[in-house]
Order: sequence, then C-alpha cells, then structure tokens
Amino acid sequence: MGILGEDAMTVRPSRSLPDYVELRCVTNFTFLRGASHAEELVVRAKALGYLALAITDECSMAGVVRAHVAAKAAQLPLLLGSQFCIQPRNETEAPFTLVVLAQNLNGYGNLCAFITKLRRSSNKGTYHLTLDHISEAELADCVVLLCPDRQATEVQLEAAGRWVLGSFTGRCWIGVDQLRRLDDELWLHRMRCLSELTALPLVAVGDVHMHIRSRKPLQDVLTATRVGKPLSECGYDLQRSAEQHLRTRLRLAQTFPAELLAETLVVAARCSFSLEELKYQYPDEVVPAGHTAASFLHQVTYEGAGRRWPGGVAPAIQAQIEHELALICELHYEHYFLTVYDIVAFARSKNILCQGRGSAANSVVCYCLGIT
Amino acid sequence: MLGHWAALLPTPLPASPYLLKSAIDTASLGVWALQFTPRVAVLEDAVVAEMAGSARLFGDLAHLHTLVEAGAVELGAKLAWAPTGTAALALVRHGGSEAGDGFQIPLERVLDALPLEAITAVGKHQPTLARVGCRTLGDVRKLPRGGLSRRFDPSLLKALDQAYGLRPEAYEWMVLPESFKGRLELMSRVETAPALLFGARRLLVQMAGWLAARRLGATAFTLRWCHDVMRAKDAGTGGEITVRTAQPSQNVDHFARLLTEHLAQVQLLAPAGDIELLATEVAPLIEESRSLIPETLRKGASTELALERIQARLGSGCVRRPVITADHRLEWMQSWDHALPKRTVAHSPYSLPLPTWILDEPLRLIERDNRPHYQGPLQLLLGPDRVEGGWWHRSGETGDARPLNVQRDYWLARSPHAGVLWVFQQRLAGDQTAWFLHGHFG
Repeated sequence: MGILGEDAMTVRPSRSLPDYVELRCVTNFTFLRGASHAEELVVRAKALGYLALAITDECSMAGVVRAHVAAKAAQLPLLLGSQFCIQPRNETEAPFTLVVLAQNLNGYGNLCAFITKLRRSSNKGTYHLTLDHISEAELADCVVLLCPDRQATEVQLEAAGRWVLGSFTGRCWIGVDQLRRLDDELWLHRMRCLSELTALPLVAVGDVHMHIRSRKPLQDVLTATRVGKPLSECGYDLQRSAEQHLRTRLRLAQTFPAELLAETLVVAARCSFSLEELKYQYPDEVVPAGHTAASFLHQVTYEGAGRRWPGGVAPAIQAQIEHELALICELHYEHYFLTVYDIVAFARSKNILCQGRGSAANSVVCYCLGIT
Repeated sequence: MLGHWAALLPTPLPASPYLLKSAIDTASLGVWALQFTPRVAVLEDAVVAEMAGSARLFGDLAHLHTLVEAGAVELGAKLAWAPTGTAALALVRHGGSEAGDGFQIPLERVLDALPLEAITAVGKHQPTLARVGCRTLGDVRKLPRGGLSRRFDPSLLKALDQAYGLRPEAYEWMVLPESFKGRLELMSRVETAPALLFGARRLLVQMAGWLAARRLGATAFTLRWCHDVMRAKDAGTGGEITVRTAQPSQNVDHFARLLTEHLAQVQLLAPAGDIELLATEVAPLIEESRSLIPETLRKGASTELALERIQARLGSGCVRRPVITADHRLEWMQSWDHALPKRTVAHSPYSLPLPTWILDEPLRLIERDNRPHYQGPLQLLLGPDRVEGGWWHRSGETGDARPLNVQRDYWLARSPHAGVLWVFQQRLAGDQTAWFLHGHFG
C-alpha cells in the first residue's frame, strides 16, 4: 500500500464523484511558470477532496519542503517528483514532458541526484535533457508519466511511447491532459491509439500551474516576464484559458473518462515516500576501517585522556568518561563528535586557529578530544 | 437625373480685330469639348456636355469650370451651367451673362423666369400659350399637366420635364473623329501671312482639344489657306506650311509661337479667304502619370516603398493593411492597421478550424428549450474551446472604456439553414449565460 494508506482509500469526502490524485503540478518554484505557492496548492487540493497531490516542479525539488509542511498540517498525502522537458535529438522526435515521481527513499535519492547532474552540466537556471541522458538505473524506484506535446505526429508519439516502455517497463504511464480545447477529443483518441500500440496505460493529469482559476492574470504576467515582452504582445505564449488550475472533482468527472481518473489512484499507490523518512547522514570517512564509530570514539577519547593526564586518569574522571560515552552511544552522536574532532585535528595540523565546541558543554570527552 | 451640364452656344467673337465670318460650328465645338468628358452631345444649335463624372480628373469642379470658360472665350462660345442639359441650353440662350450658372439658385426658380423660346419644344407653341397668358416657362408649368398633354404634342411636356430634371435626358453622344481637320472661313480677306494667325489660333485650340481627348501630341501640323477667288491668275489656289515640333505636344501657345515664326517667312501670293488646319503627324503623349499607383510598383519594385509613397500622397490615415496578430481572442487575431509595420506572421499553435467570416459584433442568439437558435435550432458539433484573456486590454484610455476581457466557450455548431457556425457561450451578470454567434464557415 502506498502513500494513500488504508484510511485514505476508504474514507471519501463525496462518494458520488470519482476520486482523483493530481499527478502533474508545478509550484512557484518553477520560476515564471507556476503561479501559486506550494501551500496554496496543498490547501486547495485538500479542500477539493483530492486524495493526494504530486508536486512536480520542473527539474527542481525546491517546492517540496513547503508542500510537505503544508500537507502535514492539512493531512493530505503528498507525492514528490519533478518534470523534465525532453528535447528532440533529431526531426523524428518531438519534445515531450516526462513526469518522474519518487516511489521510495531510494527513488527520491535517485531523482535528486539526477536533477543535480542535469543542473551542474548546464548554465545556472537551465538544463538540457535528451533521451541519451537518461538511463533506467538512474531513475530506479521512480514511476514516470509520458506527457507528449499535442503537435507531435503519430510517428513521433509512437517513438516516445516505445522509448518510455522500454526504459521504465512496468512503472510508466501516458499522462493525458484535457484543457477544454477544441481538439481535446481528438487528443484523447490519439492517446488511446498510442496506448493500444504500446500497452501503456493512460492516466489523467491536469498540468496544473495555479491553485485557482483567478490566478490566471498573475500567470499571464509571469509568462510576459519569462518571454520578455509586454502582455499585449505575448500572443500565443499566454495560456489559452485558465483551465490549468486545480479543477473541481465535478469538472474533472465531466472532463475525463472514469478509468483515467481511477488510474491516478493506481499511480499514487505505487509511491510511498515521505520527507519524514529523511535524516541527516554523517559522512563515513571519519571512522577508519575496522572500527565502528563507538569503538573509534572510545579509542581517541582515551588517547586524548592519556595526553591530558600523563600521570594517569583519576577513577572519577574515568567514570565520567564512561558515563559520557554511554550517553553518546545511546543518542547515536558518535559521528557528530568524530566529525568535529576531525575538523579540529585538521585545523591544528595546518596551524589554523579554531575554537571547536564551546567550553560550556562541561564534557570530559570533549576535553580529551581537544575540541573544547 | 441631375448632373453637371455645360451648354456651349457658338457666338461670333465681337472683340476680334479680324472678325470671323461665322461662329464656330457645333461639331468642332463638340470635338473640343470631348477633352473634358465623353458625354458630349449636339443639342439643336448648341453643344451640351455632362461633366460631373470627370470633375475629379481635373482637380475639382471649380477648376474644370475655369478651364472650360477659358476655352469657350477663345473659341467664341457662350457658356452656361445647369443641372440638366435642357436647362443649360435654355440658360445659354436666354439667361443674362450673370445668370449663366444654374447652380446659384434652385433650378425651378432659374427656369421659371425664362421666356417660352428658351426651350424649343415650348417655344413652338408660343402663340397658343401666349393667348392663355403664358409668358414664362413658370407660367406653362403652372398649367394643369392633363390639359397640357391633351392639347399639345407630347414633346412639350417631355422637354419641360427634362429641363426641370423630372425625366431623364437621352442624347446621342458624340464620337471623337480619328483624325483632326478644322476649317474656318475668314470674315475679311487676309493679305499678310502673319495675320492668318488670328484665325489659326482658334483652330489650334480645337486641335489641342482633340489631341487631349485622344491622348496624343502633335509632332507636325499643317496650315492650309485658300486664295480668294478674286486672285491673280498665277497665284494658284492656295498654299500650305507644315510645322514640326521636337516633342509631341498639346500646348496651344507653343504651336502658336512656332506658327508665328513660320508665317513670318511666308509671302501670300493672293489674299486668303479660308484656312484649314490638319494634325498631320501625331504620337502618343507620354504624360506624367496621374495614377495613384506609382509606376515603380507596376515595374515590380518593393511593395513597402510603394505603399509608403501612396500613404504619403493620401495621408497616413488612408492606407491600412491587415495585420495578423498572435491573440487567442478571435476578434483580435486580425486587424487593420494604419501603420506599415514589418510583415509578421503569427502562427497559431493550434490546428483549430477558424471561421471564414467573423461578425463585427457577436450576435446574441435566442434560446428555446435551452438550445441556441440561429435560423433553426443549432446542433453543437464540437467543443467546448475555452478562450480566456484580454484582462489587460481596454477599449480606450478614457473613463468609459470597457474592458475587452473575454471568457468564452466556443463551439462548432450547425444550423439547418445557415450552415456551419462558430458560436460561443458566455456567462453574463447574475449567473446567466447567453449564446452568441461570432463567425460563419465558408
């Protein structure tokens, strides 16, 4: 069972309307495109009775922390992910968007590493991604949604579909948007054909840029800023309508076929990661091979004690050392002490003035390690 | 039925030192008048010409008046203007010199004051009409029409109605002759060659008129004179000189100067009684183009430059060009702009069908049973297509400017009688919605 949990799957705000999870949504951390704060999106999604919300900023994880805090307060399950625009390598390919959602801690790590790699290999604020840059292993433990461009030809669609199928077998979907345009029906039909051809399931996505419709003017202004023109000259760069907001479930039910809405729950069920799982991971280099952190700390502490008290360590002090080491081990703080010890030792060896921990700690271990 | 008619009545020139024996004939006068308008006709003993249609070619009517008046003085013709040909003729015959313009006061008042003879068809019945107390056309007009038509021949009422502009006038228009030949009988015998010029000048004016009407310039013309019958035996029947010009020309003064020079070297063998002028060689005149479209455009020069020149000629407000604008709102996708910007083509990112014709203002449709109707109930074929935008756009700067924001759901609809339509539904105030027709498909 994924992030929705048993309760979320059974407790439904309104039984008459189909449940929905928005799987493609950007916050204002997708600069000059997203027109709503993560908090606003979360609160709105909760109010509309969405079962969960995915935050998928473009090649960024910047919005997830605020979304996580807000989602925790609102008790809304949150999916973390990102979306990437994949550039064509040649004329047989069309640009398309790949939405990647982390399934678990490992997937989250992979996704973050992937974003870091992309961002570091391009100028600040940009990234360049083609099919060559994506390997299956890099995005392990993630699910992906293929969101093609409406201008793509059938051949280009099929090529993209086959690539996704080959690279992410069993964890890929085709994301279909329905934005109240004249060619919506045609688009759905083409996507159904692609689905039949590639055996990829279809899933509804909203491509959300704002939490409510009335954010459209702000979204327009952002677009104008992005393209660097006055609003009146932006033309087709502006969104045709304000449909890319968090729509009511009634509207969604009228817009999408029921099976596409139901499929959003299937996707969400595959993702169980939460930021709660993250803790700080100390570097391992401070502990030499053959030691555990506790045994090494024990060793360097008594080495230090030997230097501090060359005549021998008094029993009271030894008891104090043992007491402190037991407390440190209990709280898993060995790495912290060893890290600071490592820094101070390095500084001393290079004759760099350093202070270490403050003396107020009143810790004999710190005294022995020379970090006070 | 009303136009702008000139009537030219040949009259002898009283002020000429060499009085010409006869006034100019109507045919020559007509040929001369043809340079101003193709609608020239000989009416009785005068020439009438309708000039409203060609006024613009000569600047305006006032300028045309000046041109015609100057020519009429030179040719020896009396001129009058009136809204109908018959009235102009009546005026030129019987109007005083100050009443030569039938446009100063209403036509009825001008004609009512004229005597019966002003119109020939009325003048014929002068004895009868005088016995019933009619002295002016106005008196005749007051008589009962029924009685008039029964007692007089139908031409009387017809002429009267035509004069007053109540009935259309039909004339046989003059046709310009293929070549020019003018002849003049001199009043007194001329014994020295330079003196021929006085008579020849009138012929030159006529020839210039013919050239102008033909769009030709003369490169050579011949003046012939016939010796008087009372001549010496060895004098022969007459003589001629041919004058050539370097460039094709229509300029009377230029012709006259050349002719003066030539005549100064001619010795008349006997007094001359008649002169005759022929345009012997003519060539098409390359005139400076009066066309609106610059020559360069026809020769395939840049359209932009040509448009700029046309704009400079007509004023910046008179030249507009269609501009395709990138805008989601249908009414703003194309506009007509006074400025001449670089041609930019905005490609719509959507392969949407767009209507061939759009209405200036969307037409609100009636609804029956919650269905929009336009020449029958509409069948919605495809949609909706949501268009939202323009919130930044206002119809003007003033306080009463209305926002041009739209929020519409467009549909492709079919009407049983009006074909395929582009309609939209829009929310109105008070939670109401309404349907509008915005365009037709071809």
